[in-house]
Amino acid sequence: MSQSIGTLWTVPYQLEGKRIRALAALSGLELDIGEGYTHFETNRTPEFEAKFPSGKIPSFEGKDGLKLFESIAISRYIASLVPKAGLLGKTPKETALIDQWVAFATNDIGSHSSTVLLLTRGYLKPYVKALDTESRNRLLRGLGTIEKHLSTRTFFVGERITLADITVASVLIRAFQLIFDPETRKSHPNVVRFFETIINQPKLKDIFGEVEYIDKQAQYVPPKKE
Amino acid sequence: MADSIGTLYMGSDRQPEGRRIRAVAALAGLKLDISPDYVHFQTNKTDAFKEKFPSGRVPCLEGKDGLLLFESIAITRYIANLAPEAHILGRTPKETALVDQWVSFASHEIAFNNNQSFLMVHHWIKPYVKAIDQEFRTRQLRSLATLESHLKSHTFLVGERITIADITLVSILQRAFSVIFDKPTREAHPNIVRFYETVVNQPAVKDIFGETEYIDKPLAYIPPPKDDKKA
Repeated sequence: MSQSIGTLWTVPYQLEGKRIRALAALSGLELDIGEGYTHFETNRTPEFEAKFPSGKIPSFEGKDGLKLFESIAISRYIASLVPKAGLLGKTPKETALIDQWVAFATNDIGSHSSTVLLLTRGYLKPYVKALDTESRNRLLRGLGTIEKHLSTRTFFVGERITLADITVASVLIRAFQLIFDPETRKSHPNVVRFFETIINQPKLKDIFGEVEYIDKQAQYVPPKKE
Repeated sequence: MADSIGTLYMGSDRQPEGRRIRAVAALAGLKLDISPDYVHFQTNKTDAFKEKFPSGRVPCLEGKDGLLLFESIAITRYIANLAPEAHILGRTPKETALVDQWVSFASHEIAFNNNQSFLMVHHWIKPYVKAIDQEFRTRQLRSLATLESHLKSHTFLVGERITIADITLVSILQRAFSVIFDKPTREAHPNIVRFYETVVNQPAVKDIFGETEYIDKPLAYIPPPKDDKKA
C-alpha cells in the first residue's frame, strides 16, 4: 500500500518538478508522478483545469484532497511536512532567510535565465539582442550576489541543506545550460562548488541528473530563410 | 505603546512592494518604522547598505532583533508570522499553502508580465518592441482570466478573511490598473474590480494604498523626444 503524500503533475525535464521531487526525497516522503500527462493536451482538458485553474504545471494533488499549483507553494508545503528534516530552518529568522533566498533565486536569477531561454529559442519573438544582453547582465548581477554570499558558506542558511539550497540549485541548472561558459565558471567558483555539492547529494543525484558544462554561451540562431 | 518591529527601507511611496509590506504590518497590528534617510540609487549603492542587504534592492527590513531581510515575499511572511493571532497567513497548513500559491501566482503571472510592459513603456527597458510588449500583456490577460474565474465564487483569495495573498494581489493590481486595465478590461473583469475595491478600502490599509488611477486607455508607449543630445 502506497504511503505517497499525493500526485505531482510535471514533465521529466521541468526544473520546478525536480525541485519538488528533491524536497520530497530529502524529507523521506513518497511522491507519485502523474501518469499519462502530455503537456498542452492534458492541461487543457476541463478535468485538469477544474482541479488546477491556472492550467499549468507543476501541480500537486494531495492524498488529503489539497490541490495546489505554483512550484514555490508546492515546494514550501512539502518542505513543511517533516519539520525534523530541517528544510525550513530551525528558527523563525532562519525560515525568513530561506524565504528570502527562494524569492531571490526565482526573481533575480530564474526569471532572467527564462527570458534568455525564450529569446534564444525563438519562443519570445522577435529576437532583440539588446533585451537578450540586458537579461544576461541582470542574470550575472544576481549570480554575483550569490557568489559573494557563498564565498563564506556551504549552504545558504544555517549549517545544513534547506529549501533555499534546493531552489537555488534547481534554478541554476538553466543558468548552467545557457550562460555558464568556462569564463563564467571561473569567475563564480563558489556558485560552481555549491551547485556540484547539491546536485551530487546521494538522494538527489538521480533527480537532478547530469548537467553538461557548456563551452559557449547559448546564442540565438535565426531560422533559415526559405 | 507598541514598539516598532523594525525599520523598512523603501524606494518611492508608490512602490507596490513597499505598500504591500506596510499594509501587512497594519493588518497584523504591528508598528513599522520607515527609514527617513533612504535615497534610492544612492543609499543602496553604498558599501554599508550592501553589507546589510547584499541584493542592493528595496524594500528591505532591519528588524529590531537584528534580522536583515530583503524580498517582499519573505518580509510579508515574516511580519505575518509575528502576529499569528491575526491569521493573515491562513488558519491551517493547507490554507497557508493556498496563500503561498496565490502570492506566487500574483507575483510571477501578473506582476512580472505587467512590470515588463511598464518598464518598456517608461524606457527603462530598451528598445521598445511592440510585439514583445504585446506578448507580456497577452500573458497577463490569461492570468487575469484565471483570477476573475476564482473570484467569481470567492470574496477573498483564501478562506473567509483577508490574508497576505489579498494584500499582495491588491498591491500588484494597483500597478496593473495603470497599465492594462482600461475601461473595457475593467468591464470584462468585474470580480477582480469588486475584489480590489473591497480590499483597498479596508480601514486598516486605505491610507496606505491611497487613490487608484482608473485609466480610459491602456498605457501606450511614447517615444522619447529626438532632441535629447545634450552637451
